[in-house]
Amino acid sequence: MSMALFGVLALAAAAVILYPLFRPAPPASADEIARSVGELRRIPCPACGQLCQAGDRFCVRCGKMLPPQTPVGQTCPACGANLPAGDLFCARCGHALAEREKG
Amino acid sequence: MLLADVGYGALWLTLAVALWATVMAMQGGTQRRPEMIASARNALLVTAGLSTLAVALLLILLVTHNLGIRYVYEHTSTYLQPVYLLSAFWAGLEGSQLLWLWLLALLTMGLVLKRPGWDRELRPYAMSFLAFTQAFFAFLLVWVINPFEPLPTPPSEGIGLNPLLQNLWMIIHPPVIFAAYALWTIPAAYALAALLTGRLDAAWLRGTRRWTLAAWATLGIGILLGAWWAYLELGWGGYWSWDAVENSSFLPWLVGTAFVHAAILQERRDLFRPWSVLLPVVTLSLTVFATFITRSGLIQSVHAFAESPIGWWYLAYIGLVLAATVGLLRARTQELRGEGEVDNLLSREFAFLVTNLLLLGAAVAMLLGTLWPTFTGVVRGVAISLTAENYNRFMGPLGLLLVLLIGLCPLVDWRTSNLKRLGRGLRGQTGAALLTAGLLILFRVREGWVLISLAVVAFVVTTVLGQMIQGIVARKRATGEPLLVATARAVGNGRRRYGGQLIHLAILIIVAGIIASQAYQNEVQVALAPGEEVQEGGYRLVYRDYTFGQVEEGGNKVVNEAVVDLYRGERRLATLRPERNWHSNAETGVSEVALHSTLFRDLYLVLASLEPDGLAAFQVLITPLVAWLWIGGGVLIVGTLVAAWPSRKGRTQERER
Repeated sequence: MSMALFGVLALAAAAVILYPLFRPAPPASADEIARSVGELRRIPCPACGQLCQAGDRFCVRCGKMLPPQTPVGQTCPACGANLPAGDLFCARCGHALAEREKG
Repeated sequence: MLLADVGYGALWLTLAVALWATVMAMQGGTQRRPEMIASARNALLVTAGLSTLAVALLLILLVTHNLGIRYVYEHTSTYLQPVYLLSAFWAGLEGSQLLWLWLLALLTMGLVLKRPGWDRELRPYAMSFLAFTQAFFAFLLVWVINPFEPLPTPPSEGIGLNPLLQNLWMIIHPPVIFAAYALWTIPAAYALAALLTGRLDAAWLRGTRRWTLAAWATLGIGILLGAWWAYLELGWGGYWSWDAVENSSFLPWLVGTAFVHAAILQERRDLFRPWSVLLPVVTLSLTVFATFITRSGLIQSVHAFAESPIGWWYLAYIGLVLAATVGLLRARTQELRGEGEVDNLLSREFAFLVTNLLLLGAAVAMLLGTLWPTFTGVVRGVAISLTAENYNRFMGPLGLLLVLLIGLCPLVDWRTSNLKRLGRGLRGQTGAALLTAGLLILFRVREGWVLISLAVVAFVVTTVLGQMIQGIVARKRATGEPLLVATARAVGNGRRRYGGQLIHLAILIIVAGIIASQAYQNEVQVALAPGEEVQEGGYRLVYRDYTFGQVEEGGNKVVNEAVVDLYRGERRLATLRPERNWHSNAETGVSEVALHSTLFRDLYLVLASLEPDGLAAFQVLITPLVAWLWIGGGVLIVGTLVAAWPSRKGRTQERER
């Protein structure tokens, strides 16, 4: 009788504890996604292997020039910033990227 | 034995589940695996449930007088008053260790049920340490001190509860002490988590501040309740005897107090980083050490109610935790270097530093004093205990210096101060101190140490009250609010400040009570026949009646009671009924003291013996200001609540963080 009760207790405990390990992962939150994307977009320095931010021109550790990266969107003609396609103004220097439609 | 088997099984499961949580939380933290952390969290909820089940089962066994269980047999009897079945739960080592585990599991549950906020990164490690400590306690209960151990043949009657523990305060005192011990585990867990992650800025101190305050105040209240119990039950008219077990609960309080101050200093000025991670861990170790002292039989003490080889396990836990902490401290030397520096000796930083050195010095001195009988036992073959006088000789001056610092600290500024400002601040206080000393001399107080220490207390009270009143008056003047509103709003806006000052005030009230009651206890011993009376200290005691040899609890208790009317002049104040009882499970008579307590003095009446013809020997003790100790305890609770009460601003900040 007491063994049966102990078994029930043990099973219930195991179920509660193990459930989080096997349930489908919950959707990631926005900042988790942003962080993961940031990690993925890092590029290794060819000289020393240091992981650098996308868009950097020099390695933050050894100072060697990083290989030119293919811009993802558009490049600002005024300051050279790497910007998402579709932006109308440069996020860094404010340069108008396209003529505004006159309505 | 179904219930006992299930209880023992629940403890086994607690051990297994807590070990799982220890590993999962640690792995989840280091590998950033949220599902592992969630599993550890659920495991900690399960240990709370399982330990609750074990507690409930042991309670049922006690209440139903199931004498087939050793613990029930050793600590209860069928004639025990039902209310004391509850104190039987923590009368022995097994039950009190189960209580400790249960309280820790409940607190841990409270912690993990809160959504992670500031502690997102630290929490898995803190959880791991809390789970480890639970596993350690569960291991002891399963392996060494099983509370559910059955007896081969159930006896017909139990040994019964130690009559000294049959006191209402003894129902409350142990749970409060163990709640404090369990609470101290949380700041220690976060300190270790901060060390592990290297996030040693003040964020973890801010986040655990309320746990720390709760732990600190609960421990203080627990110690006061113990003193109250000793005063009411031990029958010698005192409340503190520097007994090894009393000391062992006071040690973590001293180090915990140092931690509270170190934490303030790191928050304000980024000083003392190594202190604020080390001190909570030391405090926790000392709470376990207290249990080691009580239970190991290493030190003989009136409190050592039970002894067993379990002591060495406690020592192993302490060793492991301290070794891990020291190792981590060495690894984190870089991060432990804070930004702040003590610029000037005449600064509040320096005053804090001195405060902490004194607190820790007092703790070390007390620790050595407590262990002294063991040293002399090993070295000279004779265990020599320090007397209360020995302790008073060094703890008295240290305590007085600490009290003085409470008064001096607010008079110096952060970073730097100058003597002129200090001197200006000192004027009122010095006046108050001199006035007090003068008044005391008028009232024929001649003892130098009493004059000096009460003058110091007056000095400090003036500082603390002055600071509080200054803030309130400034607000009233600036806003034109009525006094009560201004007080409420000033306190509401400066909870930490006013709470801290109230706590200091509480300490001062207690210190004043200690000084007066130690200095001026008046004792007479007198033998009276019924109808006779005695006069002492303005009181008149008339021995009116007695009951001799009244048998209670089925022949297991013999009650001898004297009925004494207490008069002041012609006015009858009270009828006192001191008892001198014999219990079948105690070798000597046990006094039940009668007490008439007022704000300014206590009349404490002990019936030393009673003859069949009514001839009675009484001990009358008149002690001034004892009640201030308990009043101080009340103020301490209020001050802590004010300091720890969440403000609306704090709550939104927490959410944003």
